[in-house]
Amino acid sequence: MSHQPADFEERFVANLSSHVEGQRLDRDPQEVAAWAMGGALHGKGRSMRPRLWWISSVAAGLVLVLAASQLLPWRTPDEGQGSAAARVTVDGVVYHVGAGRSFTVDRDSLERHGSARGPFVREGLLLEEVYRLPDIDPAAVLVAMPTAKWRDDSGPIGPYALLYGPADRYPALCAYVIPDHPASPVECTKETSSGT
Amino acid sequence: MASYIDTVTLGKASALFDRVAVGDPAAFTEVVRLHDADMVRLCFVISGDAELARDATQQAWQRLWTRPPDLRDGSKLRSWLLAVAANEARQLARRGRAREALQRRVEASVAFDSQVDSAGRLDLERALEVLSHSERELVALRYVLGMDSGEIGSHLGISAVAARSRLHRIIARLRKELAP
Repeated sequence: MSHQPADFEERFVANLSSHVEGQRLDRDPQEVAAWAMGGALHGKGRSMRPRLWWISSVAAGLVLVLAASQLLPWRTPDEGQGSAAARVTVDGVVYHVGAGRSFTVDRDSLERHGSARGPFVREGLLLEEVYRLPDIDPAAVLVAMPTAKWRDDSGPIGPYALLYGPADRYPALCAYVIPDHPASPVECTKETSSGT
Repeated sequence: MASYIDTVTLGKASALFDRVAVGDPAAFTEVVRLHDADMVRLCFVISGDAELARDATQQAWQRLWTRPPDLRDGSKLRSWLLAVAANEARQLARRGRAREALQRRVEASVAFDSQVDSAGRLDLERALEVLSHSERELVALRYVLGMDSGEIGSHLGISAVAARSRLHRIIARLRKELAP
């Protein structure tokens, strides 16, 4: 195989083009946009959306498996459609992975907690890193980033995944719930209403 | 000098960005339609992995929606998107995704064989291996997205001459590295 100056660049470009175009990289813009907008899209555009760039709403949802459903004091509207295999381990503790379209999370307030392990990490999470929420027991809930391809019957999961652990302190999560979001748990809505 | 068509196009792009900046979902979807393919292709050349490229691009879209940039000139949105996506691709490639990506590339090699002749494949794989992420970005901007030196220079914040020079050096280096 020779690499003559005159044809090298042409061959390189031709092969590169074939390689790139052979990957079927084109996607449905509607789907891509829906995922990116995630739970933040409600009400008057982004008027309810926090201003910080990593803040956004996360989908409710699909959360958990049977064991988790017994632990949760409340259920989100689209919960129950999730994958039973949506489970990871963090520092030896099993967490059930779900989404919360009604949640807002300030990225700047998240603190790295550790790394998730298990088959679902590769399937559903963008990165292994998981984060803890301020004032929330990390044994109760952690936050991770889902892959773009992960979706449930309600559509794309959104920007964040929630990892539900064994500790029973879920009501504290209401502080992160958008009160008028359609997917907000009723318990959180009531709490907000009664508190005002 | 910008043509009339260029002026109209830039004006539309600027107006579209203004709508995205105030949270217009339809405008956002339109921007995705206009730029997603180029962003994914750029990220693919940088990372060498299709799935990682999609994820990196998705992060860029999420960032646009949740924290739109403060662009004085909305027509710069395309450049901003490409820069953010490329940065995400570089970060993901460095952060624990490289091993997975390598495995997927190996698995995809069978399909790849049918698209490019074996000599070409060898050339390309060796070429991409010797390039840094930044160099791959430059290659993608020129040979995949079809930007000229002026556009590349404007995008990367360097002169057209510098962009042309870097590309020339990359090609010269590849030619030397891949010489039999």
